[in-house]
Amino acid sequence: MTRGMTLVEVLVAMAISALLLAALTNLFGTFNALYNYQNASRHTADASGAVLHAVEEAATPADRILSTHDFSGTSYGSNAGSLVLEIPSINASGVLVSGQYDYVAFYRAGTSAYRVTNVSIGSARRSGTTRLGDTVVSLNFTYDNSDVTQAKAVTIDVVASTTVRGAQTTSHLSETLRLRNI
Amino acid sequence: MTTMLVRSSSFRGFSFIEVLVAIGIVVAALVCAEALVHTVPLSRTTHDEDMALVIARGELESVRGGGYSSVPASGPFSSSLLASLPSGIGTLTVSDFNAGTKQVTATVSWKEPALSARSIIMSTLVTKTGGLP
Repeated sequence: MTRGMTLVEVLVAMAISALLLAALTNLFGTFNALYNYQNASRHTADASGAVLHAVEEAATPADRILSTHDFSGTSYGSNAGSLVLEIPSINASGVLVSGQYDYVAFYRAGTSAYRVTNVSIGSARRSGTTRLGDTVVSLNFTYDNSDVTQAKAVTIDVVASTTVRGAQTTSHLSETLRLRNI
Repeated sequence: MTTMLVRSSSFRGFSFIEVLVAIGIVVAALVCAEALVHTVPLSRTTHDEDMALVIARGELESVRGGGYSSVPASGPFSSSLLASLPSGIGTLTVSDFNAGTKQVTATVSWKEPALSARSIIMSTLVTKTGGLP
């Protein structure tokens, strides 16, 4: 015959389980918050990095900055908030297509940054609009010349930021890019 | 029934297997917790490394842009992004690679909280002929 447990034993056991349960819940909450924060932090870093790299990829081979260009009906201009580049076309073998140019514009709408590409026939690049990243709260271009068409360098400044459960995570990147084909 | 009786009348202690299983569970939990805690400094380091690379690349880009004649002397360089690294310092080292070429090395070092100092190094050559407009 088992004698069962005394009241004190039951109380002690319950107290210990309650304590353990509270500790576990707390641990789980902490890890969950940490995980969400890290995810958000990585997300903002990815967004700002993607924008910076996309602009770098287009600006380095560009031969000039355009004050404005028409992208199949929508016109974009080079100013503090957007950038329009003209890039000599290259074909699939990496050879210049003489007299042909591709056009690339970067801009921000809401908290998303976009790249619009419009290529000429024979170019290896692809036309279309790409969303480079969300959570982009600021995208700024400054030029080394007040006349953007005379500019030889452009400084891009991008800030991606998001708030997850009251904690803000921000990624701020900037770089001065020189046009290599002027 | 006999077992129950024996068990209740005088506690026989834990068996070896029971102890092993209990220790195993505790160790597994500790390993999980340790792994989770370690991701914090790890993701911070990755973030800082990315930042340092952007700083170094930006500096080399500006040196290249200036051309051979305006390659600065060795010394610290400034960048608005350095402030976002803990105790971030940028150093430029310039040496003659040959008669018409300079080797420029950008070093970005910073101090991870509670960790050793870290740094990244990027190097480029700037020649007398060619260069950017």
